[in-house]
Amino acid sequence: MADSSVSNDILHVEKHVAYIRSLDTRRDSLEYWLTEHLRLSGVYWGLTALCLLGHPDALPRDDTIAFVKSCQHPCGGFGAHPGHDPHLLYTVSAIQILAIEDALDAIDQDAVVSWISGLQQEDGVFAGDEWGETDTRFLYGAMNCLSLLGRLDAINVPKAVEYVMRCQNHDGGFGMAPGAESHSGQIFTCVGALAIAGDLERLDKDLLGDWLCERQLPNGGLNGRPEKLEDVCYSWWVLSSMAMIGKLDWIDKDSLVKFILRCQDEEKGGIADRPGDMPDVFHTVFGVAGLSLLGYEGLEEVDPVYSHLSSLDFQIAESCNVA
Amino acid sequence: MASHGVTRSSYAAQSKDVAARERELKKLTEYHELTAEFQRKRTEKEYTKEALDVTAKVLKINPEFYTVWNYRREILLHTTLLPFSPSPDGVDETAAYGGYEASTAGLLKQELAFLFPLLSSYPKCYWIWNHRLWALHQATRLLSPPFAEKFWRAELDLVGLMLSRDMRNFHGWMYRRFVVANIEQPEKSLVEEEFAYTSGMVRGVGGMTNYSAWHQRSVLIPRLLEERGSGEQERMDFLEDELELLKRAMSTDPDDQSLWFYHRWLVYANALPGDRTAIAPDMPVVTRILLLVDQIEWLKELLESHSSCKYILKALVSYVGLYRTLKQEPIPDEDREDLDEVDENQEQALLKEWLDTLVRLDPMRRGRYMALRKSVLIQE
Ligand SMILES: [Zn+2]
Repeated sequence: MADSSVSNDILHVEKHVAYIRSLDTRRDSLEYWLTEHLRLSGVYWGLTALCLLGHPDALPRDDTIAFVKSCQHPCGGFGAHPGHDPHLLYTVSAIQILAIEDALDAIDQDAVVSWISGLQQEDGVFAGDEWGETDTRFLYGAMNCLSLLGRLDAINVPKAVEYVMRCQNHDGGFGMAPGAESHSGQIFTCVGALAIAGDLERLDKDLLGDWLCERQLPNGGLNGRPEKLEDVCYSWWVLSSMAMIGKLDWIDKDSLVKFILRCQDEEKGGIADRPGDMPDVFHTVFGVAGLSLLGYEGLEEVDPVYSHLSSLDFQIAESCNVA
Repeated sequence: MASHGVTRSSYAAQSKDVAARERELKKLTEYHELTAEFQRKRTEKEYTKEALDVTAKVLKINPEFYTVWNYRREILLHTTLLPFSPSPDGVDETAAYGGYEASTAGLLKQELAFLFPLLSSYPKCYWIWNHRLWALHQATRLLSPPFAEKFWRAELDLVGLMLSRDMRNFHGWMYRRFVVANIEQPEKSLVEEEFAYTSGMVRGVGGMTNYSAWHQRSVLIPRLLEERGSGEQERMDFLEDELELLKRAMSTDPDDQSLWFYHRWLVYANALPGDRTAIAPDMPVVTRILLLVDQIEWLKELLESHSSCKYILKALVSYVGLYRTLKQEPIPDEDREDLDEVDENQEQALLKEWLDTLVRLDPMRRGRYMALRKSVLIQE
């Protein structure tokens, strides 16, 4: 299975760059079309990974910006692809891409701001779209977007923070709604929202840090909840949450670096959920971002709060058998 | 775009298979035709039975295509799921409403029946759970309350079935809380039933390790005791039973994290004053200390038979630290005699020994134990 001539002790930067560049050329596969509902996020993950790998120009900038613009609706929100409805998940991806490309001026920002602020509910949380599903993922996404646009004034931040605090559990973690079980993806969004609001002091960092550091398993990888399997994507959410509360030294960084490196496809590039599995762009970006946060040599630095990596799409992680 | 758990070797084998590749191309063509038809009908704002059928076909292949779910709801809202409107010609309104209600209920049942196999195949797809919840809200919106409640009650059985297949599916647990909240009324609480459900879960096969069920229990307990109107003695008995249940589980499998997080909550919430989510929040300080000492002594015993279990050691260190905090509280003189004298030097030595063992047993979390050391050890 693994090619013994190529070792996974190091990060295969060039192979990952080639892998990401090849993604948009796979139009004869069913999978390419079955994931159209994620396209804008896919572009965002690929672009972020390329930036961290030191190849920010590997995707054609003009085409990327044009594609983002083609996904915007008159209401201000973005869909995942032309012909797909607006949703906060993809609006975040759109704004993040434009922020990376320094092209926020290319769109009508006021429309985006008014669309997002219209999604805030009475209790402070945000809906994902006009159909009204609410989740702390959307709350973080809204705050992330508006803060990138410099328009946090357009929403009620204290109310959003109160909602986040209602989602906190006895174990120090956070769930998707008040009363829901702690989950590291949701912890990322709640801690991220508090970080953006400047309210991290409201956390019991020792309690939360303890729950998070127990996510590391003997093979170095991190899981998303107690008694679950390790996964590269969860490794990122746990790791970035720990970075935000200053507890990165509560886990073993070296073994996590080794675990992520073992998840590389050493022949064709890309990173998978765990060693030996098929890589994808989603785990590739989270793997590279994790390595960056762990100080892996030669990578650009990632910001754990904005990270240019909103982890909103952990609905994908949810399709993990391990989630 | 995101593949979880597909091995590279199985993928490579599959892509070499020429017949499989042909089947994929055929599927691809069919899928393109279907989505093109969907986009055309949506653009034309076509709200018909045919359009509904197209959404069903696309969603069966790709339930993640959220825009198709949106279109499906638009079609239903424009065609069949309409509010009752009495006809102006003075026919018997009650009879007319009865007919309306029966046919609307039938339509909603059809919608739920369409969703069930999808949910079974894709139990972690957010959009399916969402759509199902939407359909149930239509029952509340369009039907009379007793009729609507039948839908929500039936849903409780379904979510029970889903959770019996995967006890940790957090969509399932979240959904269960939604369903319960929609059945509950100010004068009709389900907290006893729901608590009994978690009891069955944690006592059942493999349930002990079910963090989701323990979590749900921690959420329900404060409300349960409130609604029972439990007095202080009943609350203390309840706490004792809960600790007993946990003790049995922990002796069986002391390496199960789920139990330790729950235990930590029980101990901290009840030992520290003023936690309104505690089971027995009004215990005097000496009772709280005795309770804690009891747990510490039991853990020391457990350690004898499981000397390399890091969770026992970590709990011991934290609880002794907590014990030291509690002793700072003012204790009435007459209560003081109930407490045994503690040799602080010996206690300090034990703490050091436990912490050293922790670092040796679990070097990955060395940084965590160093922080713990700093917070519990009396300055040397
Ligand atoms: Zn994953």
